[in-house]
Amino acid sequence: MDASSQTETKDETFIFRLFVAGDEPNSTIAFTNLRKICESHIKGPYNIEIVDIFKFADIALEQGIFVSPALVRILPKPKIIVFGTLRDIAKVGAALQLR
Amino acid sequence: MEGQGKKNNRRSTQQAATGIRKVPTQIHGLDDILYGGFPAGRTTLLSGAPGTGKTVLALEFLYRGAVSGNPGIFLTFEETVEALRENALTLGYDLAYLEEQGALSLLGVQVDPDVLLSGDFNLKALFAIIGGKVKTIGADRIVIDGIDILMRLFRGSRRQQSEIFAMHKCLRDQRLTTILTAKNIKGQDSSQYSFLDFMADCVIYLDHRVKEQVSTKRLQVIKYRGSGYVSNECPFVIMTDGIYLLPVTQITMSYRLKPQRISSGNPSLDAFLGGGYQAGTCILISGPAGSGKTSVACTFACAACKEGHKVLYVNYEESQEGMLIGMLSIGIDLRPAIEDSAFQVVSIMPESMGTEEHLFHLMMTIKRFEPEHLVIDAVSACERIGGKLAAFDFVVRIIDACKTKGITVLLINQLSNATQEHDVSGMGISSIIDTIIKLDYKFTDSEMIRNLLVMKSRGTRHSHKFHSFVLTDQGIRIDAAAI
Repeated sequence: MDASSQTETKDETFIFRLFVAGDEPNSTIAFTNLRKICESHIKGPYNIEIVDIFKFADIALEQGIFVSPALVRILPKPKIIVFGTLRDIAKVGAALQLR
Repeated sequence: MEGQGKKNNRRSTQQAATGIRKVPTQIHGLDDILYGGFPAGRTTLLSGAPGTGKTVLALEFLYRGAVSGNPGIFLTFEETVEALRENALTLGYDLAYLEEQGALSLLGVQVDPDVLLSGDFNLKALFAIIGGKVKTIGADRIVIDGIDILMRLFRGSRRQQSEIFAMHKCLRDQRLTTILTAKNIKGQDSSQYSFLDFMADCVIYLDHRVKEQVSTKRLQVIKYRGSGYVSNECPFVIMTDGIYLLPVTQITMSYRLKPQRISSGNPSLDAFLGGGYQAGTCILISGPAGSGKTSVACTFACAACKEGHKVLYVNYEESQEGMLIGMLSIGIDLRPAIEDSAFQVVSIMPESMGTEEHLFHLMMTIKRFEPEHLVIDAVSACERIGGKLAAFDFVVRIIDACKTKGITVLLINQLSNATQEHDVSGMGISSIIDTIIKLDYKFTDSEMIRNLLVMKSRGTRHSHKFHSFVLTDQGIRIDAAAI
């Protein structure tokens, strides 16, 4: 991925990693909200990885994630992190630079 | 203090009289203050302004635990793990090696104050990370450095409280002995983290003051649930390998007077004292300027060195050269003793350092040189270290430390007109002194008459009379007959 490229092309795939705490309500809500955000903001393909911090605590630590739920936009760069249930769809969508 | 070595104890704890289990910190002097150590499986809070030594103390606790078979986790919000390893090296702690051995786990978390927040979140991920590490290395202790930084993520004190309580529960469930550090300036907005104080079982406050251009670090135990503790402030320094506290243990009562007598160097004086000084006790030589105090002290030093003992002479008044020349004029030659390394002079300006530095400088010199006897010439000069209170503090701690080690302490005190008649020590320590010799002189029409009085000699019968003496070129000559 070219770091200097500012515009999104049609065949760029968004990759998100959502860190959740098992079946915890906040985490479920975050996943639902993330789907909504992606559906309403992204035209092309996107990928959501769910990482359960109870099973993969090491990955969380590696990525500097210590709260849940937490969303990391892996691609395209730069990396963007949002903590919380993502309840403000419009605000999060803007923050993730999806438009 | 001296007996507590850094032993290799697997899962070592100490049963206090009150029954709560404690974890020895193995930090010099701290376990005396805590009556054993930190509360096992509970939370201890280290609170204080930046730069007061919280991280060093927490790190030393973990490090000493790790090298003696008790793995631990260091979770920091204050700095990166790389910076932590580097800083630890300045204390001689090789953290990377301990990590390789599985004795230590360093976790660094950067809290971005501008991180985007939307909706509710909690610390379960952190608990999961900690839980994982506890299993991996079998940790029984954890340091969380900079919990106040973590708390900035949560708005409102109620929210912060509930996260702290959740963390507290997580750590207790893991049976971890927890040390939290938090920045806190005394008096300033202390209500902000008062719930931390409330939640912790043991609260220790670290302070750093600058007084008269001399900087001082102090530690004070504010609270210790279920246990006694030393409640006074205690000065400390950070030495090349960690923190050194020097609490006053038991000042007067618990020392057993050793039966052994040592000669004062003068047979007449020995007779007045019922055989000489008592080894391991505290002797005060008091008198106005020029009354012969240094001569009495050096007479003793010379005799002790001839007996094969080592004497450490701390001189706040003059240089070694000046002292040697002065003593030669009365027939006391200390040069052979110096050459034999039996006699060592530490010549130092009181104003050059703060109380703690003086204290530890002296303690380290004592540790290295291992003298049987210590002379301080003069305690009256100690006031120049930082005032009367600092001087008192310093002298009391030195006496305490020496008595614990069985080192004889000879204090010289120069009386001034301002000295109260009944307080010949000049600083209210007469009660912890075992032997007091008062020197004086007066002028008649034709001559100067020196006299000496044994004012006190604990545990022995002594002469209560004034005896005149002269300083000859072959030492002190005391008139055995009373005046």
